[in-house]
Amino acid sequence: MGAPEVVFKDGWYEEEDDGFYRFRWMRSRASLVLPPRPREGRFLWLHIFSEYVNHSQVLSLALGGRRVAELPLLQQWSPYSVDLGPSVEPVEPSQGQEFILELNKVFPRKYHPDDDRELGVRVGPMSFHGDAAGHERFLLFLDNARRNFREMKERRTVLSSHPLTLGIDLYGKCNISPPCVYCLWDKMKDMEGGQTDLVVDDRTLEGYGPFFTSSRNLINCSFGEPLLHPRLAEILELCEREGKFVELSTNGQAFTPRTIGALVGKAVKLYVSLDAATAETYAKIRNDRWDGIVPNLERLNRERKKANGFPKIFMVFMPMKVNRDDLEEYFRLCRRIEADALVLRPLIYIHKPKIRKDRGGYHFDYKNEYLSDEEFRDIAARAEEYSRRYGVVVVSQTSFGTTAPPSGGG
Amino acid sequence: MTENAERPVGPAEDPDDLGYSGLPLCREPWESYYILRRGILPCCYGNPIDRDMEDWKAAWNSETMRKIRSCLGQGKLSPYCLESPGCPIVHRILTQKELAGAIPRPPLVLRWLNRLLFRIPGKVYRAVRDRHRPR
Repeated sequence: MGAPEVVFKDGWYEEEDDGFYRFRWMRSRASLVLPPRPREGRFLWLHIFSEYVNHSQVLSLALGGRRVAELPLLQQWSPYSVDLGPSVEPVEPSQGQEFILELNKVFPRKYHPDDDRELGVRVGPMSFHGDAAGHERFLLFLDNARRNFREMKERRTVLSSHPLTLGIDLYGKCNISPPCVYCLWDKMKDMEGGQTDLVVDDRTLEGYGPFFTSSRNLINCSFGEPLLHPRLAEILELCEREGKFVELSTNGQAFTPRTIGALVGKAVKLYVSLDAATAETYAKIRNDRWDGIVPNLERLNRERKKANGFPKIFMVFMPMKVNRDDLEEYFRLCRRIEADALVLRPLIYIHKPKIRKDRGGYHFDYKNEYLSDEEFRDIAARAEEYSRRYGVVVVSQTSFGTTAPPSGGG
Repeated sequence: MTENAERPVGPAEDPDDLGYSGLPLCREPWESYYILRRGILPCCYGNPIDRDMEDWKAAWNSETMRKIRSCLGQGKLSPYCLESPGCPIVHRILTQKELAGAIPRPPLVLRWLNRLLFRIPGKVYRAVRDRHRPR
């Protein structure tokens, strides 16, 4: 069921884009008019971003003067299914119903000192749906999320709740052989033992039961190329239907009409690991298949623009000695393919690594390639400058692991 | 990965409190879980493997997971975390402690002995220490 033609009334600001969804900030109270629903559209998917980590921000919803839901909001973007009740015939066929949204508290001003607007929450895409079982699963999801937070606050070590983020392992094979120079392929495949060929697909995910139902984010952590999965489309369809956000990392060498078709329109964060902006550097890290990659990324970008802007494309750059001179060119590449962000990700720290490879006329020694904190900071500073110059958002994962309150906080 | 180091527990009714106060050092072992071919991990930087992949149901509340949660809940890194130097939180905290001189290095003779004996003495020491550490 498609997105309804909503008429925004009081309590809304202009549409914005935070790099994931197009959204509107609402004040503490806002109203809109929902169009007449299709008879089978009893439920509404609503995407909301709250800044509160402890679920203490509550959104009350009323349709046509009748209270329909009271939602404790989760931090960051989350989908919420709302039971609007049975569809009623409007007095006028074209007339919609007034939908009131009211918050118990707003985003404190001290976290946005330069923005004097009253900011409540971000409200993103909405769509009607008729999946009653899916709505029940959403209620379980929400109940679990609250219990999980409570158990964490209480320092419980044995949990009755399940995690919000589920790491999955979709595919154990890769199309780059020999593996990328920094990849821990051999060690990981040793650890996997006989599991490398094990099938993990949409049926496996459903088989995880409450671990799947309770999850909001699914992060693929395969040592393998997930786009090669023969049931990629079915997996992403399932996740879309269940309102899950999926994160996939790809080497960029598996874009085909099939994989692009599976990705387009899905709430996927696609991390494309190139780490190089020229064929020469690429050959030192991976192989000589550079030429096909950028045209495929441009194709993916064209296709997603025809849909809803998904998947989001995050271009990963792991600064090392071998590629640090490619940084500015990488920003140009990101601008060319209209990437949503350039992600600066440090090479994983390994104590006394013994990874040495000769590739593309270059001797790669992991120990020497790993940049010191100071060198990384220097790269990050350059990246900030290029970000302004080329208009490409940069996300530095040097602070990965830190969830600080929003900027401006005291 | 979600670090919440050294944030004071604030008043419960502070209207400006977004809820960050009073959280464990890292939220991962409550909020995340990795069911991977190479085994079960409490976070994406986890090392070593807790259990095999097929044990995903039981491993969520395994002894290792309970111990990790217990330590992080008390605001300290667990022995498991200390075996995961790839984790940015561990790396950052250890670097800070090293810079502050809080982690004394063992005497040279002991380090050499450890090396000569394939690092077995160090492993035995850590295993005994962990077994007797209160949970």
